[in-house]
Order: sequence, then structure tokens, then C-alpha cells
Amino acid sequence: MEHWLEWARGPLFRASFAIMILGLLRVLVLQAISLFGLIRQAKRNQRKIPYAVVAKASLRWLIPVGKLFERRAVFSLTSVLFHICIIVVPILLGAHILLWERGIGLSWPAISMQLADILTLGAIVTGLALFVIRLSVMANRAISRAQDYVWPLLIVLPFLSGYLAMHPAINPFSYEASMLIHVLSANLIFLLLPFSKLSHMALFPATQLVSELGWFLKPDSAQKVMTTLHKENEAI
Amino acid sequence: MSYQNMAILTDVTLCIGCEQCVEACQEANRLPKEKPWRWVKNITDLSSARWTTLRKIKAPAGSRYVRRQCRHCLEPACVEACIVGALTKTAEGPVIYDRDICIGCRYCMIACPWEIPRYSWEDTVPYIQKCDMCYQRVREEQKPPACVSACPTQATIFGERDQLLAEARRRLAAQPDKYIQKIWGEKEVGGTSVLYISDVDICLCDLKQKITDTTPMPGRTFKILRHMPSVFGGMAVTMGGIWWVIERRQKLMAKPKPESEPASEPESGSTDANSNEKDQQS
Amino acid sequence: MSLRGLKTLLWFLCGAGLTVILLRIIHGPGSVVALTDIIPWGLWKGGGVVALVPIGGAGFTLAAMVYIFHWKRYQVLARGAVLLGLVCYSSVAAGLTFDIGIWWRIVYPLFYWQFHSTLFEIAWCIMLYLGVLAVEFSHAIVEKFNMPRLRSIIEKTSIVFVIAGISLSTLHQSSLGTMFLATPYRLHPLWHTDWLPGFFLLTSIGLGCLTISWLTLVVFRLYKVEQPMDAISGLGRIAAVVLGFYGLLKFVEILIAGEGALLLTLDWNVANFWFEILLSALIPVALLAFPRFRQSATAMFWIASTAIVGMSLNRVNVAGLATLDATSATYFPIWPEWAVTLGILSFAGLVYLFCVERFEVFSAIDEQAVKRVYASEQVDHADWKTLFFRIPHAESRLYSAVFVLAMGLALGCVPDGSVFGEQPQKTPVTGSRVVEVAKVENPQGPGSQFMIGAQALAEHATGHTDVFVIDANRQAEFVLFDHESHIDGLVAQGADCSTCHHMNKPYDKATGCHQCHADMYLETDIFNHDLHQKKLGNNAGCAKCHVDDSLPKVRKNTTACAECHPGMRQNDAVGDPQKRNLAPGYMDAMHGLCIGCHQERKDTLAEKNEDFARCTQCHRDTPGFDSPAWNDLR
Repeated sequence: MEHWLEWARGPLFRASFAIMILGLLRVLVLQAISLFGLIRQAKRNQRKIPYAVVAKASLRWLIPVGKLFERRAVFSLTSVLFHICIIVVPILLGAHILLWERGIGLSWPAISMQLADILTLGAIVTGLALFVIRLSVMANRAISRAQDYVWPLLIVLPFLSGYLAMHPAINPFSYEASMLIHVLSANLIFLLLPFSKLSHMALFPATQLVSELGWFLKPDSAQKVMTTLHKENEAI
Repeated sequence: MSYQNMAILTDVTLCIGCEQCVEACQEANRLPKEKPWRWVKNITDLSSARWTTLRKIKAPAGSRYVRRQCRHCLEPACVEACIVGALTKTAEGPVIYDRDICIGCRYCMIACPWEIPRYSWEDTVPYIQKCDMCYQRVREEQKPPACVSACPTQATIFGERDQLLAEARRRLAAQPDKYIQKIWGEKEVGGTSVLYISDVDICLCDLKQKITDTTPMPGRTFKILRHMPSVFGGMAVTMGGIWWVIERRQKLMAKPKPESEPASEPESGSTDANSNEKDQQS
Repeated sequence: MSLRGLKTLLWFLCGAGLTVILLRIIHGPGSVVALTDIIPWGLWKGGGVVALVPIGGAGFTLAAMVYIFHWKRYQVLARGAVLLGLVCYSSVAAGLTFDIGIWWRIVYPLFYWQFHSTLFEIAWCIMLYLGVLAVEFSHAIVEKFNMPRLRSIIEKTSIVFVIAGISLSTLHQSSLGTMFLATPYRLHPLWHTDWLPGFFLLTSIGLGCLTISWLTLVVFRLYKVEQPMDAISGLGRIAAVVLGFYGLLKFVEILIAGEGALLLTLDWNVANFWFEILLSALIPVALLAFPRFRQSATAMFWIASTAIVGMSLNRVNVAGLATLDATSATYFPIWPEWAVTLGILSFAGLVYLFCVERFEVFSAIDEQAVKRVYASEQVDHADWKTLFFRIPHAESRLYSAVFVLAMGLALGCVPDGSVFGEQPQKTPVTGSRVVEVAKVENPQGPGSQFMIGAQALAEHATGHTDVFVIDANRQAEFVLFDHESHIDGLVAQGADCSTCHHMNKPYDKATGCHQCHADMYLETDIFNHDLHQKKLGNNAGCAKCHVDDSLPKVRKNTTACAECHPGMRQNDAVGDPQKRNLAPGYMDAMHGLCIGCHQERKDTLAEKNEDFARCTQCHRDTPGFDSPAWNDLR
């Protein structure tokens, strides 16, 4: 078990973390290339792109509380909390920073263990809540793919196992086993991240621009969206 | 005091294997502690952290210790090989290394017949590591090399090469039964500035083949290299000439006066005809 | 293999190579190569430089044939050969940059001149020739971008560059051989000869004909265009003559040097030689003698492949493989070395294909042909990204994904030393053994001597005692340590066990040295976490040492050992409280413990003399070192 743990947080972590960073860069570069292409195409067709509106929309959606909050308060609140928790804890956890320092000599200020505990529990609760909401709301189910159900659960896994590993008194499993699950599930997330919808963590600043440019697309685009979602036979 | 053609003479029979020369060398050159790196087969062998070392030889008469260090050849292969001239043979005797211009091609390590230069593989910016006969120390502090100063039995001594050769011969003559009548380093590869006398046969390098050849190493490559300018010129002139002749012949053949220039050789004529055909096709 | 499949593979190799190159820049070449002080040149020099230069020899060979000798039959291949030369020499330059220890000093030969160095001459020739090749290839570029004035200048001066290129190639192709004349004691006599420069030049011409043939066959196949067999079979004939002549000369040279008998001995090197000469000359020449084979694309492909492999083996042999025997060392390139060499070559391949598609390298492969190939391989990406990324980007999406994956995988697969910098290797210490000896007077001086083995014990009826055989790293260099007499002597001087056993395990009175000094040369951690965890009841026990739950569970936030183990004695004189959990390496510890004490006592004790503090007091030559009894100990 120890050997597996060593492997998972050594070579495997190196590989998956590198693939995540490089993969996100790749996605960004590809996005930039095609955006420039689309903008050029729009200009060639004498279309005006309302940059001011796009910029405003981008800023507004950066914190998706405003509009969404009016319609679906619980969902948007849960989602925001979830995002805060899953971003803050892995980066600012003291134990993680120690590992970085030992590995490459870089360190930064950590949050306290109590706060980390609270945020970790927050991530677990909100993650499960998001899963339940997705299952229970009809409109959500209609536009969901398999990966949309899997992601909240997969993201909750490293938080749960990490919490158990850090609290041996309430951990029914051995330390090594919970650590192994923790590291393996985190690696799996890193690995899949740039090739799945999670790449929105790099792409989100230009989302509004993309959807704005989307208005210039071909007439059958909507059909292709349905095809991609594997819901071509269902009513829109 | 000026130094000229200095050398080190090591009398293997006097060495007690105390390794104080090794320690003094490491201290004088501020070398790091030896570590069992992947590429260090034996921690007591020469390495980037050990510019001189004692090699134990088991002889019937008891153990002998042979001190390995840079031989400071009179005509060093490494100096000839170095692409930028980072290695130089000084008039004072030592072969010194300029780490500021070394590019790290390691040709000196390949060329050295004694397998002396080591490389600090462990460093991000690695350098060649070898004995420089304490060049700075000897010149500026007027002291003999650290290893020589440290030797408690005077097994290794420092002096002008000619004088040391004379001293070696004196010792060989004084005790002809004790010593093998040979001075290691007197003539091999053109002579070295680090000399040995011994009462047992000693091996001074790692290679299987023992070095007895007295040909200096540098000539082996330079005897060919020195012809390169003429090869370059000769080749250029030959190629230019061939091109000019063929070009001219083709031009003449292309002119509409066939009777004035009959085809000289049937073979080349056919080639030209071929090419002409192709030119017309294209 | 399809064009897309090949490009995917090449991009993958590029990615892996790039990771290793980055690590090499961060931690130096030592962290990613298997080289040693005895074998300082490896795959990057032998494969990436010495073997790659003759492959690029196609450039000057074809330039001479087409532009000097006006053999218009080979015109179709001329530009492809020049481009081959260009990418090969660029790869050589790139490979060399990362091979040399200090990569940014690759330009130093420009400023520091050393005319006696073969390497210096090669560096300059390759540098200049790269420029010449660039000018020669610029024809295709000015053609593409329609620059008539520049084009006329280049075309008028082109013959000067062609001649300069041929002369420069003559110099450096042969000088690559000259370089190894400096290694008479390393290189096996079957390869080491003064004819080496000539052989290198000759084979580069023969091989040049075959490499451009090989490449043309492959590229034309990839773009599904009919292969120019007329030119290729002609090159085959020339290669047969040149390589045949080389093979003949090679054997003549061996016979003249009087090494003929060597050819028939059974030896690894000789087998290697025969294998090499068969692949590089004999088999290709024999097959090329048949017009039937010369005219068949398949046959030419395999013949050229054989010759390329064989001739590369020749260069690799001269540069290293055939020197291994003389050095008694071993070296085989580890995969990061392969990744860099293959990565650079793959990048060169991609550049070649790029040029073939964008410029008129082969007149048969024009825009239409390229479009046809891509059209037949078009895939439908039923993916949401297709909405935003236009179809032509499908290629870049595939290649970039493969590239990124390869980079990450390579980072995961390299050894830890490549990522974090090379660490010294561990040399575990083994405990000392006990052997019965006869302790007798030393005939040569003061003190006593130990005789071992049944015979010695029988000869000396009295004075038998047990001694420790200290050979902690199992190098068969023994120190015989008489524990009993040390106890007697030291107790008489008022010392006790703790004088030497300065720190003991919790319930020990005198813990053995190797229990804590577990590595021969390196400092070692003497705290066993697993053992403590198990003893304290797994999960339940964590809080016993890591008392403060709000702090990370690291050493500095943990209860000190002495709080649980008050009885664990520690001599304050030894051991730095800052590093109380690290023990020095075994050798340092032993030397530190023994030498200090011996040096003190050589002056204070009347019966001891100068020798008492010398190395030979412990590291002594015991008589009968070769006897069977000693061999048993080893």
C-alpha cells in the first residue's frame, strides 16, 4: 500500500498535474486561435461585435449570483459556495503547501486547519447538494450528460477521503487507504480536467464572447448541440 | 622565484596510504564531500570531489598505494582536443583549466589516455574537474602543491622535472634490487610531469591496454587536421573546374552550330543528350 | 502508416523529448543521462551527432551530382536532399546544444579559437554548412513568396554556395573520423585506423544516396504519389559502387594493419564488426547489384533501411560501442536520452513534412496532392467544440492533445533524480559478523595480529578470541575489531559502554552501530514512523505524538522522542540537537568515533606510539590474506 501511495503522489501526481496545466494552456491557445478566426470572419461579414455589452456580461457572470439568484436562489448559492470551497482548500491547505515546499521549494501562506476543516465539509455538503439538485430538477436533467452527474461526486471524493485522513479518530479506514483514495481521485480529476467540461476553469473569461459570436453561426448549430448532448430524439 | 617545467615525483615504496594528500587536496581546492553518486563506482576513486586518490595494489611484498592524479603530460591530448582552448599547458608545468570558457563537450575526457578528467555530473552547470598541480598556490603563495606539503613521508615530492628525473635515477641506481628500473612518465605519450618510481609494476589508468607508446597524443589528429585548408581549397577548385567544363560544353552544344563541336566522349555525351531532352520536355 | 498517424506519433515523441530537455536545462545533463566519467559520450553524441551527420550527407552528394556534374536525372530529388541536409544538420546543432554541459555556451567556438582541435573545425564547418544549406533551400522559399529580385540574386550566386557546401562537407564528414584518431587506447583496433577520415567521407557519400532514396520513397508513399523510381534506381547503382569500394578498402586496411586474424576470433567486438559490415555494406551492395531490386520500391526501401541502420551502427561503434570493451565500463542509454534524440528527430520530421506541404520540395507533391491526402483522411468531429473550432483545427486539436499528454507522461515516467536533481545513491550498511581468531604477537612491530581459519587456530592453541569483522558495505575490505580488548582497556581507564554506544534504542544497553548509522556514506533518518504507528495502535495513536490537531503533522510540531523515552541515553558530546533525528553515515561515524580516541591516547598512553593513530592500525594487512578462510568471509 505504501508503495502505491508513493507512486500515486510521486510520478502519477507529476504526470497528471502537468497534463492539467499544459492541457488548460492548450485549451486556452486553441480558444484564442478560433476566437480570432471567428472575429475576423464576423468582420469580413460586416457584423459588429458589441464588445462593451460582452465585457459587462462577462463581469456580471464572473460571480453568477445576480440574475440566477433571482430565479434559482438555492442553486446559485450552493454553486458559489461549492466553487469557493473547492478552489480555496486544495491551494491553501497547510499540508499541501508543505508538500510543495518539500518538492520544489515554493511555499505560500496557509489557512488555519479549523477553517480548512469547515471549508472541506462545505465542499462535501454543497457537492452532494448540487448532485441532488441536478437529479431532482426536470430542466436540469433535460440538458445533462453523464459527465454532469459524475463530476460532483468525483470532486467530493478527495475532499471526503482527505478529511477522514486528517481526522484519524473518526476514520473507519486505515490512514494509508484513505490517503490512497484521496490522491488517486485527485489525480483522476487533474487528468480529466482539461479534456472535459471542467476546462471552464480556464475558458470562463471568454465564455460570453463565445456565446455572442455563436449568434453568427450556421443555422443547424442547435441541431449539433443536441447531437453532442446525445439528446437528438428528444423535444427541445 | 620563477617556476619552469615543474613536476611531481611519487615514490610508491614510501607511500604508507594515509590519504593525507587526498584530504589536503580537497581542502586546498575546496572540493565538496565525496558522495556515492550513480556514476561513481567506487567512492575512493577519482571523482569530481576527489582530484587525487590512492589506489591500493596487492603485491606479494604487501600492499602498495599508487597515487592517481592528472599526469600533466608534456604534450597533453586534452589541450589539443579542447574545442575552445579551455585547457592549457603552462610553462610552469601544470595543465590548467579555464572554467569560464569550457562548453562541456567532454572531448578531453575521451581524449585523455589516462582517464583523468572527471565531470561534476551532479551540477546543473557542470565543469571538468581535475588536478591543476595547485597552480595558483604555487605561483602566488610560493608553496608546493597541497598534496606534496601534506605527505608525512615525502613519498611525493615537487620540483623541476629535470631535477626530479635525476633524483629518480639516483634512487634507482642507489637501490637497484629494490626498484624496477623504470621511471613511469618519463617517455610515455611524450612524457608527463607526474613521475613515479616503484618496486612493483603499477598501472596508472583504467583502460585495459597498458600505455607504453611514446608517441605524443596531439600528433595523432593534427597530422590529418593540418591538411584541411588545402583539402578545402583543392575540393573547391576541382568542383569549380568540373562545373565550368561541363557548363561550357553544354552551352556550346545548345548553340545551333553542331559541326564545330563534336561530342568528345560517348558517355558524357549521352548524359548531356538526356538532360537536354528533359529540359525540352519541361 | 497514414499521414495523420505518423504525425501523431511524431508529435508524441516531440512532447516527451521536450519534457526531458526542460528537465535537462533545469538540473543539468547528469540528471537525465546514464553517462559516467569513463563513458562521457553517449547516445546524444554518437546517435544524435556522429551518426546523423552522414545521413544529412545526402545534401552535398545530390548537390554535386545535379549542379556540378549536371546529372539531370536526379534533379527531382535535389531539393528534397538539400532539405534533408538542412533538417539533419539543424537536429545535430540542437542535439549538440543539449548534450554539452553548458548549453548556452554552444556559441563559444565562434569567439574562442583553437585551430588544433578537430572538434573546433567540425563545429565551424557545420555552422557554415548550415548557412549554405539555408541559402540553397531558400530557392523554394523565394519561389513561394514570389520575390523576383531576390530570386535572381540567389540563382546567380547559387553555384558558389554549392561548391562551398561540398568543400565544407568534405572537411567535416572526414573530420568526424579524425576526431576518433585521438582514442587509440579506447577504440577497438578493427575500427581504429588512420584511414578513418577517408572511410567516414566515402560512406557519407554512399549513405547520402540511400538516405534520400529512403526518404523519397516514404514521403511519396505518404502523399500517395507515384515514386520516381528512375532516379532512385540510379542512386542505388551509385551507392552500390561507393559502398562496395568502401567494403573492399575496409578489408584491405584490416589486412594491411595485420589484423586479419582478428576477424576470425570469437569475440563480442568481432561479432559486432561483422554484423555492422554486413548491414552497412555487404548486404546492401549485394542486393543493389540486381537491377530488379534497384527498380522495385519495396526492395529499395528495405535495402536503404538496412544500410542506414548499418552505417549508423558504424558511427555509434566508433563513437562509443566499440570502446566499451577497452574501458571495462558499461553504458546503455536510458529512455530520457532516447526521448531527446527521437524527439529532435521527430521535430525534424515534422518540419520536413511541413516544408513538403508548403513549398515545392518535390514537384510531384503539389497542393492538389496534399489536399487529396487530407480529404481522404478527414474525420467528422461530432463534438461540441466543433461549433466553435473550425474543422481545419481538428488537426491541431489532435496533435496538441497528444503533445500535452506526452509531456505529462514523460514527466511522470522520468526518475525522481531528473525532476528534483540527482541524489547520491544509498549504500545500506550491514551488521558486522563475528569470527574466532587466534591473537598472536605481531612479529613486525608492537601490538598483536589476528590469524583466522581452522589451520591458524590449530597452530596457535592459546589466545583464541572472537572479533568483529567490520565490512559494513560488503566491499571485502575488512577491519577486525577486538571488542573484548576494547572493553577491558577502556573500563580500566574508567570508561563504560556509553563512551562508544553514545545513544541507544529504548530498551537496549548498547545498541549496535549499524542500527542507527544505516547508510555507508549518507546521513540517515533514525526514526521509524511505521513502527511507531503500528505500536501505538494505527489511527488511534496519531494524536499521541501529533498532539496539536490544528498544526500540520510534521516533525517540528511533534512530541520529542525523549518525552516518551526518558531512558534512551544520549551522550551530549555526540549528536547535534538540531539534527537529532539524523545519524551520520557509517564511515564518518566510525572514523569520528575511533580516530579521535586513538589520537588522544597515542599521546597519553605510554605503551602506544605514532602508529596507534594511523590508518593501518585498523585497516591492516593481515597475513594470509588470500587464504581460503578469508575467502569464506568474503
